Amino acid sequence: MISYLAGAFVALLTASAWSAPPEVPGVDDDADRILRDMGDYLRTASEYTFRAEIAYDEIVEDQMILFGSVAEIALRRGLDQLPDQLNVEIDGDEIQRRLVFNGKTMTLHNMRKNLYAVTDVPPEIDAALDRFFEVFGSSVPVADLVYSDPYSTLIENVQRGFVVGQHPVNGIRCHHLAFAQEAIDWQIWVEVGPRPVPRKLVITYRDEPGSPQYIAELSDWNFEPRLSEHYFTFHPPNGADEIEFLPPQEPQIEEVPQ
Amino acid sequence: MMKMRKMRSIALASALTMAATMVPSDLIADRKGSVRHSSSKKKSGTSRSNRSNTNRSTRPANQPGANTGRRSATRSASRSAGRRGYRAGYSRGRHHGWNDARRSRRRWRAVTGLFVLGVYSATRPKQTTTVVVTGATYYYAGGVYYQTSGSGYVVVAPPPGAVVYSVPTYSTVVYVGTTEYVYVNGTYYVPTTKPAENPPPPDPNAPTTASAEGGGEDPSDIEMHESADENYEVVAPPPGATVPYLPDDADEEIVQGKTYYVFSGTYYRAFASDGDTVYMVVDDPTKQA
Repeated sequence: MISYLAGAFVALLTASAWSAPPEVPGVDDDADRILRDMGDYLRTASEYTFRAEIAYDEIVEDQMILFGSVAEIALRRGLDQLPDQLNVEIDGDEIQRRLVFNGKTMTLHNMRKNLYAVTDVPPEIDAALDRFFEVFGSSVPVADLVYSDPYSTLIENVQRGFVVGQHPVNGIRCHHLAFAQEAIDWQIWVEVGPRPVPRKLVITYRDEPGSPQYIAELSDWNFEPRLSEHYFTFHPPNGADEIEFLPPQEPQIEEVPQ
Repeated sequence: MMKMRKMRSIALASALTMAATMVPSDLIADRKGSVRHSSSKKKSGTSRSNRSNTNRSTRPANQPGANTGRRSATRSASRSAGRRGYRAGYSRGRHHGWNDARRSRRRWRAVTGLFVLGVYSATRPKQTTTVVVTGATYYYAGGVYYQTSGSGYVVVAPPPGAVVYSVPTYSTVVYVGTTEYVYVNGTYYVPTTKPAENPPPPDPNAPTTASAEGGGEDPSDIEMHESADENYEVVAPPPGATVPYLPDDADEEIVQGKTYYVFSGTYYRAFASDGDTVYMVVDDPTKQA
């Protein structure tokens, strides 16, 4: 009996020692490691550009309809006292807009209507994106890959995760990972080899009627784009009208206790 | 009636409660495709969330009139679905409202693109209800108001005070403070218990689709929403109301260097919000001292 208990104790110790790195319970080590490698690769890059071809489901007239957009994303991480900078151009079925973060302000340009709005945001990209999200109710496409620590952003609410296998995306061999968190399942395909960039991201909204999906194929990864400052500066085009972000309004009803 | 009222208020309370504590997420593609914002449950300024949440569309009832309690029921369902989303960290429900509104607008344009103010037609829609406002007679069908003009009919601005039995299903519910308005292509209604003329019985000889008529669209074919316990009264556009789209024939006007959008005498300003451009009713800038 004693030896049995001791054995169990040792097993417990071993197990806890073995899981010493802050791995997420429910996530396979391999899945966690691959996701972490990808996150580290993006986190430590000083600048990168990529293209996202996005398709997403929407229910229209009680029918699931697939809409699409293409986003060109350019990110420069703040180095040598330079601020984080971001430029995103989106051309889609429903929207056509540009988003420019110059380290001080976030400018949103609705190209279809030629309207733009500017708001002050914090200099760090994470806080800037969060602030923009609060003000505008929207973020950039595949924002998870733009935050300063993509791994932490992605893994934050994950409950389960595993490696599905090695599957190609547009001919590129990838680790195919699957994760589940409350209400959503998501999958990511990470390039096999020395450059572990994400090649595809699929989000399934389990709780939504019809379980709609958001699918982003990621390509044209460039880690030496050598972008000029001009790229992260917004100059209003001819005829553009400046509008404001809708100012906050007073709460209408006090919180009701549950 | 009491039951429906209760259901609505509970839905509203829970919607606002949730909204007060959650960060809104995603409308269009870019809002959706984020695991982070899909899952974070951070506190935000309650004001914004509240406001955002006040804009959403009513959900279409598939069979207008078939179930008289439908409007409330479908709205409650739609809200709670959205709030579940919030709870799960993903708040598509709210934005779905806006998307619906935009698509509603597309549909509106497709169906009623010809029914802009001032357009003349020789015949009246095949099913209209009569609305009398301060002695003037209007004919109402599919959210469109007509008056006689010569030997035909002309599309006119909805007269404040008009009470109608139903509104198009693709209306959008907006709030100013705690007052609820139903927005339909530039027109604002408030729910009312005032009486309205019931719609005419279905005409057995009426063609089943607009196309069967072989010409012209008929607003009688537009899907309508009705409620057992309420009618809808046209009111003047309330300052502060924020809507996701304006009618196609809204004009742009620059007053003191600022761009305004004007529809039927009401001035709007554009704002960036909810992942898109929205329009807020403002005081007439030309009348300010």
